[in-house]
Amino acid sequence: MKKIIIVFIILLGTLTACDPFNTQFDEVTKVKYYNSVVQTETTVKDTLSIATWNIKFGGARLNFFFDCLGDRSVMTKEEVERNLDKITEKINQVNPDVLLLQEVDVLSKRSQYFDMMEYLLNRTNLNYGVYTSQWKADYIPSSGIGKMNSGNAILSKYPLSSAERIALPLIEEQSEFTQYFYLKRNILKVKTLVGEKELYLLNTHLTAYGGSNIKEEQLSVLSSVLDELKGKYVVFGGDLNTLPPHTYLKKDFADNVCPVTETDDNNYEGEEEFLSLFYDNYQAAVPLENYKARNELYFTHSIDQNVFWNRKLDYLFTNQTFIKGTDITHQNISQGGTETMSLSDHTMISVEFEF
Amino acid sequence: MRKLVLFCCICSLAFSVSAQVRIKSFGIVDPMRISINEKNELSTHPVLFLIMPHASWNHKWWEDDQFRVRSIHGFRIPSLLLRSIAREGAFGILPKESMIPFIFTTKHQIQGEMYGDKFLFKLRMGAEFGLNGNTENLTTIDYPLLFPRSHTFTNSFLWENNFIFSLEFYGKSTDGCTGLSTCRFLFLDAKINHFILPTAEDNYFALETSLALRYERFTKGYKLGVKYSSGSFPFGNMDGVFPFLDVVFKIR
Repeated sequence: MKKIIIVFIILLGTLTACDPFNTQFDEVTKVKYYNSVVQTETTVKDTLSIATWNIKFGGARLNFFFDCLGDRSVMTKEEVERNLDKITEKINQVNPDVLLLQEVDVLSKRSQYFDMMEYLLNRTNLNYGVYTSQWKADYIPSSGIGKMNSGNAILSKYPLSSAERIALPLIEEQSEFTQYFYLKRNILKVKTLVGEKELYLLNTHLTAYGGSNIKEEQLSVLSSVLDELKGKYVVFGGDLNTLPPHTYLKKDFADNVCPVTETDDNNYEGEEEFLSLFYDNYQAAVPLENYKARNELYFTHSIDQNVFWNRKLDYLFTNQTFIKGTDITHQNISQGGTETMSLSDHTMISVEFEF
Repeated sequence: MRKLVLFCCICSLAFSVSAQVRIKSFGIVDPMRISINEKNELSTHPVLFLIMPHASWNHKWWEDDQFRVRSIHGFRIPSLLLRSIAREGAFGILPKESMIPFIFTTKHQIQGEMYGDKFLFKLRMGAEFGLNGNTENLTTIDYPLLFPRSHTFTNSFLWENNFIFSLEFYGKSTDGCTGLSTCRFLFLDAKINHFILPTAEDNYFALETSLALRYERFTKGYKLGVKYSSGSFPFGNMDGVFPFLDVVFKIR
């Protein structure tokens, strides 16, 4: 009798151990490939238009609870559709050959279970996509968030292969319980083939968590991954949640209404040189001397839609050549051709890459 | 809400003055079973009742030495519970901005039973109906075990079928368990819950299979088991394994 009970308890423990809400990542589910239903014809070119954009899971400028501007946590189907259509319109206006996206939702409750990868691929000229999650849970029992799958994506007109999800360090200060449900940052690395030429693309969305050395640790991993790709064509970027050197305003942003804490996401003091390594060793889409001369022309983020872009968090770098003067920080009609403040809390950066 | 609580208190008082009324059992998770007479039984969870008034009435219609037929009728008023879990931060199961109206659900099932000395088999079929206010601004709870059980909070009805099998495979009774004896029983309980969840857009389903060991020793019962849930939901196909544990106290 005792044996039966012991076996039963062991079986029970084994079945339920580890990952009841499916928040962890294994090899099989790390990266997902997508193809658009209708393929757009592509030609082999010597220059590629490359863009990066944090699309805020199609949440546009709705007042979500995490921004302390409102109490929204779930969108309606109509809101998601409307916001995604505007994002699609902007992508089609820029018509990039390669697009790095952050905060793409795939079957999340907050965005009404839209697969944004499918949605965007089928409505733009981009043919191929890879996606990896940075926040995944069958259920998050907090603020009505529920089922979550949100992450980084790379979309391209050219075929993608050898995709990898490179995990970034987690925030050690968090309790195990919080960490279990929290975002698992990563670098999405993939190879695209343009004619005979191979180009490595890396997309990341680093932590916004301040007050610890986690950003430095994550940037250090990014740097190591890039070191391994020396001698190859590489473009990398994304939302680095870090300000460039020579930034005038590093805290007390007008649109930050959240209570200030030790781990304030909106205080970048002490992080001034975090990106120097990348500016020193790679070419930035927005040259540092341009940014230094006039910070405000290159800002890509603001929390509140009533406050114009007030900081630069989004970047594109290469170990090859971006064509000088082709970079655009799509801030408004005069700088990018369309109004973008209402589309997301980040705006797009685009640039021409020369093979 | 006050009227309902008052009504329930009056009912409880009325039952308590009847000599036949007695509490049969109660558990941490299991509801309290109150025997009214030989044919009727009420059940409710006293703690959960405070935030979600609910009860079910179990009536025995017919019985012989092998079979029984019962019907079960219940209600739930989950508005207060839902309001308490619509919050920002931890344990915010619903978004803070949810507008939760008065929700009343009622479930009606018919149950056939076959029993012997060492086993009990039940087949139960029925439906639950929701009589709700405007739930347009109320999101669903999208998790396998919870979604079917909260389906009628936002939709009009669901079908539910249960197959329940209980087998006593170890039993030791010295004096019929009437005194301070050392009765010991071990049961294997198996249960399949099948939910059919019609919505405006599609028909979804959930199938839950649970297997548990139940050990009873005089007035205490310990239940330990696992439930495997799988289904097709509006939020995709999902499955999962869930453990459960309960202690049930029997009043002999």
